[in-house]
Amino acid sequence: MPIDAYYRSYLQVAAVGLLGLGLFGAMIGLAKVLQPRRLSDLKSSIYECGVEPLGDEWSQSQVRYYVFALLFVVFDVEAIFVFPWAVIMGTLSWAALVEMVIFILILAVALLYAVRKGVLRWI
Amino acid sequence: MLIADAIAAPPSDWWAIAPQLVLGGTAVVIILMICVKRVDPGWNALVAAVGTVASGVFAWEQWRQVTTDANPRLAYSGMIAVDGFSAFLVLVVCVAAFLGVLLADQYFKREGIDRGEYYALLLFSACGMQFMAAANNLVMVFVALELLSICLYVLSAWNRDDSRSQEAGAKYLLLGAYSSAILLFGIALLYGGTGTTNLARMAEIFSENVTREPGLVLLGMVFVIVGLGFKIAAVPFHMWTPDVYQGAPTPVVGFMASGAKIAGFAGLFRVLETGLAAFEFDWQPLLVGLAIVTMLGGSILAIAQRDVKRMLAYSSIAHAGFILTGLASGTAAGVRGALFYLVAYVFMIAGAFGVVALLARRGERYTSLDDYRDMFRREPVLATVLAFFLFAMAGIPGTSGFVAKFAVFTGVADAHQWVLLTVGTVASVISAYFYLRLVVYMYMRPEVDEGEAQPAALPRVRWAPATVVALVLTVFFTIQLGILPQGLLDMAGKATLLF
Amino acid sequence: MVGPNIAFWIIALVMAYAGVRLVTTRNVVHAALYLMIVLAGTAAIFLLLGAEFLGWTQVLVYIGAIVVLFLFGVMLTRATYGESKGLDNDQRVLAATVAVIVFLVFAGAMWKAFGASTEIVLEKSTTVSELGRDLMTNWVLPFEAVSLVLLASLIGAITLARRDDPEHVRDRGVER
Repeated sequence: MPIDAYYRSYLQVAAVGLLGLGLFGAMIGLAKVLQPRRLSDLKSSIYECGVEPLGDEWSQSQVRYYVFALLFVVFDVEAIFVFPWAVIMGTLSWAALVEMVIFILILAVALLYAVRKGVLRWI
Repeated sequence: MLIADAIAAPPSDWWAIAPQLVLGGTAVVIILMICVKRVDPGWNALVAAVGTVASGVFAWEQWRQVTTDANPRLAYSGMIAVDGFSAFLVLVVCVAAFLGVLLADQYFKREGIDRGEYYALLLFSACGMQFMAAANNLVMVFVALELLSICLYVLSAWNRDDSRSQEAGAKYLLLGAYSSAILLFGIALLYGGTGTTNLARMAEIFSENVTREPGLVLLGMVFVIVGLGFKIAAVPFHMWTPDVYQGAPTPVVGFMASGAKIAGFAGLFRVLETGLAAFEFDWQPLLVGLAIVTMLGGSILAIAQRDVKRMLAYSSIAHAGFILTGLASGTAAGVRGALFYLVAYVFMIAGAFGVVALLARRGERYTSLDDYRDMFRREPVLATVLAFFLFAMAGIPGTSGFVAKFAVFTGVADAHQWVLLTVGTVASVISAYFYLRLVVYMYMRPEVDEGEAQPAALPRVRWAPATVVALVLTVFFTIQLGILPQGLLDMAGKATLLF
Repeated sequence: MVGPNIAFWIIALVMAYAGVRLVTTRNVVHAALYLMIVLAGTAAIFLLLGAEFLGWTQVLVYIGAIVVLFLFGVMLTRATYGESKGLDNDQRVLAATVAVIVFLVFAGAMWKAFGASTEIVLEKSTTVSELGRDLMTNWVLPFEAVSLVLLASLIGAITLARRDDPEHVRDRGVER
C-alpha cells in the first residue's frame, strides 16, 4: 500500500480510538461532577459478600496457571506464523504447504506432550 | 491464480542440514516415546546416544565431501553455510552431546531425578549448537543461540528440589537473557549499518566499500562480541559461570561447559571472520584485550577457590582465554590452534566433570577441596583419571592440552604478538599451580590438620557401563591427541575459514 | 510529512515516561502495566513505519500474551502485593550512569549515521502477503527452527513446573 493511503487509513483508526476515549472520559467526568459524595468508614470498607474480609489481599496462585499461560503464548506465536502463510496460501507451491505442516506437527508434539503430562486436566 | 505467480520454494537441501535434522528428529522421537509409554529413562538415553552418533556420521560425511570436493556452499538462501568450519564444529558438537548423554544416566539415577525429557532437551540444545556452527545469517545465529540457551537454562535447574540448582537456573536465565538482548542490539545495529543480516553478503558490501555507516557497524560489532562473550564466559562477562557451574547438576555442567563454548566460539569466529573481516584491525585489539584478561582472570581467580566445581569453572574461563588467543592472533595457524584446542577442551572438561560427578556422591555433597584429601587411597582409579585430566588441562607434554596450547601459541608467535604470547605463558604457569594443587591434595595429603574432622568413610563409588565408556573415550582421546595430534591438526587447518 | 512526525514524538515521549516509571515504580504490578504501555508504544511505532503486521503481532503476542505471563509470574511469588522492601541493591546512581552513557552512545551513533539524511525512505507499507512470501522462501530455516525453540521451551517449562508427576512422587515415596 502506498504510504500516504496507509497513513490515511490509520488516521481513521486513530480518530475512532480518540472518539472512544473521549466518550469514556466524558461519562466518567460527568459522573464525577454530578455524583453526591459523602464518604464514611462503612462505605469505604471492602465488601466481600457481606462478610468481613479475612487475611491478606495477596494470594499466591498455583504454578498450573502459569503453564496454561505459557501454552497460550506458544500457540499464540504459532498462530502469528500461520497467518501470513494463510493469506497467500493459494499462490504458494506444495513445498510451502509441507513447510507449514512440519511447523504445525512439531508444535502438535508439544500439545500431545502437554496432554499426556496431564497439564490440561483440571483437578 | 496464474501458475507463473506461484513461488517456487527454495530447493530443499536436506543434505545441508542432515546432522541438525537427525538431532532434532531424535529429540522429537524421545518426546513421543515419553508420550506413548513411560519406560525407564535409560531407553531414552540409548536413543539419544544413537541419535548423536547418527548425526555425527552425517557430519563426518559432510566433512568428507566438503574437504575432498572442495565445494563449500551456502544453503537455504544463505541461512547456513556448508563448509569445513561448519562440518568440523558440527562434528565436535556431536562428540560433546554424546559424552553428555553417556555421563548423565548414572548420575540422574543416583540423584533420583532421571526423567527422559532430559535427553530430549539436551539434543534440542545440541541441535541449536549445530545450527550455530553452520549459521551464516545473523538471524540464524540468534535463533540457534536461543534454542541452545533455553534448553540449557532448564537443564541447569534440572534438580529442582535442590536450591543450588534452582539458583543456577535462575542466574543463568537472567544473565543469559540479558546477553541475548545485547547480542540482538548488535545484530540490529549491523543490519542498520549494512542493510543485510547475511554474513557473506555483508562481507561483499564491505569489499565494495559502499558502507555509509561505519559507526553503526563498529558499535554493532562491539555488542555482538559482548553478547557472545557472555556465552563463552570471557572475562569480564564471566560472572555467572562459577555460580552456575557450581549449582547445576554436574553432567549438565560438563555438557554446558563444552557445548555452549563450541557454539559461542563458532558464532564469534563466523561473524568476525566472514561478516566483519574488513574490520579486522578494529576487532583484533578488542579480542587481544579480552584474551589477556580472560586468561589471567580465570587462572588467578581459580587459585582462591576451595570448591572443585568452582575451580573447574574458573579453569574453563581460562581455557576460553586461550582459545580466544588463537582467534585474536588473526592468523590461520592461530585459528587452527583454537579449533584444535576446542576439541581437546571438550574431552578434558567432559571427562573431568564426569569424574567429579562420581566422586561427589549422592546429593553432590563432596565437592570441596578437603573432600579430595587422600583420594588416591580411597578411589585409586578415579583419582588417577582425574589427575590425568588435570595434568592435561595444565598442559603437561604428552597430553592433548599441551599440543593445544602449543598450536595456539604458534599462531600467536607467527603474528609477532609478543605481549599476548608472554601473558599466555604466564597464565599457563599460574593455572598449572591450582591443577597440581588438587593433585597434591589427592595424593600426598593424608594427614588432617589440627582441629579438623577426619574425612568420613564414604561409600565406594559404583560404576555404570555408560560412565565407563565415556571416561575411557575421554582419556583415550586426550592421550591420542597428545601423542598423535597431526590428523586433527590437519582437519582443523582445513576448517579455519581463512585461506 | 508532518503528521507522522508529530505522532512519533507523542508516542516516543509517552514511551519514555512509561519506561522511566517502569523501573522506578515500587509496585511490580504497576511495573507490568507500565511495560504494557511501552510495548503498545513500540507497536504504534511499527505501525508508523509501515510494518503493519509486525505492529499487530506486537499487540497480540506481547500485550496479549507476554504481559499476562508476567502477571502470572508475579502472582506465583509469595511477595506482598504492595511495596516490596529489602529487594534494593542501592545501585541507582551506577545504573543511571550506565543507562545515560549507553543512551548517549546509541543516540550519537544513530545521529551520525542517519541524522543528516533528509531523504524519505518509506514509500509504501509492507503487506502481509509480502511477509508470507519471504517467510516461506528465504526464511524457511529460521522459521522451522523457531518451532523447535517453542517446543523445547514448552517441554522445559512443563518439566520444571509440574510437581505432581504421579510416578515421580511414587519413586520418592519408596526412597524415604
